[in-house]
Amino acid sequence: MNYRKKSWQLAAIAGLSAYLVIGSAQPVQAMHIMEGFLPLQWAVLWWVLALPFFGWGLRSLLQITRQNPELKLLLGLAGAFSFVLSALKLPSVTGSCSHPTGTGLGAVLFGPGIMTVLGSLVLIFQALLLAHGGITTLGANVFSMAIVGPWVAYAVYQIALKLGQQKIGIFSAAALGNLSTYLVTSIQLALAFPAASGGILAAFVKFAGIFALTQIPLAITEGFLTVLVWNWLQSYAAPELQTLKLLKPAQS
Amino acid sequence: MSLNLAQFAYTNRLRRLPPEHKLGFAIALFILGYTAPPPIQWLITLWVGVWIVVYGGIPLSVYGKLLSLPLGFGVLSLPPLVLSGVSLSQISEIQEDIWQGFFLGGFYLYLSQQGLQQAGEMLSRAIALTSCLYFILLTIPLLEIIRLLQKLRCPSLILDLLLLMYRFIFLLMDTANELILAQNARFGYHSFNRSLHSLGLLITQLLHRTLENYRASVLGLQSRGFNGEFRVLHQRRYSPNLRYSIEAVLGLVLIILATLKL
Repeated sequence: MNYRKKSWQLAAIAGLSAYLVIGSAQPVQAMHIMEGFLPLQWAVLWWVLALPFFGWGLRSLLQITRQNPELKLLLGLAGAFSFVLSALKLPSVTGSCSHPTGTGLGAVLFGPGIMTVLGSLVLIFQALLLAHGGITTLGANVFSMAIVGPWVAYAVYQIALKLGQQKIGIFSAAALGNLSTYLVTSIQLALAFPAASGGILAAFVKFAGIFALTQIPLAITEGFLTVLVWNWLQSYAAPELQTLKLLKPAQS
Repeated sequence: MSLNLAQFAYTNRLRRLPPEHKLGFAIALFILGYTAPPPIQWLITLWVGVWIVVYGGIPLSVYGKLLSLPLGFGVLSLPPLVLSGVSLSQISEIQEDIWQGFFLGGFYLYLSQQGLQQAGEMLSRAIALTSCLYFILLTIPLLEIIRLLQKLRCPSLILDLLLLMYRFIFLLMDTANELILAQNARFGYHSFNRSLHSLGLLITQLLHRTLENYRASVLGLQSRGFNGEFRVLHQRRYSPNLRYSIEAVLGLVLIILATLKL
């Protein structure tokens, strides 16, 4: 019995080290639930939950593009910009690298309603051009990355603006936008795979714990990065920011 | 950071098959992949692999690397699925769920039976569906998917945005890669702080160029009488292949029969 116990401990140690080596060798795909990961009912549910938000965002986009057809181009370019942003590699202290979600910057620059539509299209491109995420899990990913992330970031930014703390607002918008995305993903996974003991809550703690290892430093990094970008935009690209104001009436 | 997967969609050997056949086939496989039991899902994975590598002519090394890519996510979420820990007093409640386990301090750490079952089901389903996604990704160019969506009466604003994004993603990606090369040549990414600084500069510059692109494109479109509609020339040169069609239909029917039987 004692021997068996020992061999199991050894196996556990070997398994854990192998996991750490294999797991950290690959860059973490910025919190996209992979294709086919969710059971059918959950995949469908998240699609159904995400569609109204997408439709609402699309309707406001229809209104501004009808008044001003050229803005379609601006939207397309903003979408392409968001895509490239999410494909950049974020430096990380631990050595593994990951991608920024870009939801914070996008929500502040373009507004959350527009970001929902653009973010969803970015996710489609990521699935079909880069093999990140998937089609059946698109609903779940849209919900976490293109709906919750931007709205949290936008709300945080607005609150900070009211308090007169713009810099802190930008930092926390980007960091919390990133963090909330990962929290929602953890909730989605916990709901789909509840633990035998402790149910959904225990599963959530386990998923969130694992992802927290990589995501909390990344969220902070993204926060700092976004502040840097914001400073430079303020000092060197003020006329460009004026162009983006064209998109703003949509979300009021 | 490269988009070279798109080039396979244009150069694979199944390129001349009508895209609606390929997309229909993939969608049927998606649905069957969800309903089929695990052994059939592994068969689907194998079969789609044959389509992609043998019929499509995608190099096996490329496809293998692609299949391992999303597995990173699977590997990352495996421990929370199968590992559980309870305090000593609660062991009796979870007795039938224990597969193997050991004591660690005041805790009992074990591999959960239910978790293992969930993980097994998840793995076979995820791999089967991921390979279906790769079939679409590697054999159908995105522009043809957009065109199919147009036929299916998808709102034109979405299609316009997809088209524009598809156009500009490649341009901006090129710009970003050039900027990264220039920064790298000047040790822009040699330390963490430098990387952050460089990345910030890169994003700012990228947004700047994006909006420059916007102004230039608006001028170009206005001088050509833009009225809010994008029209693109499209030539259709597809030829359905009887042999592939027969194999696809036969295979799908066999999967349905096997699913019903098991």
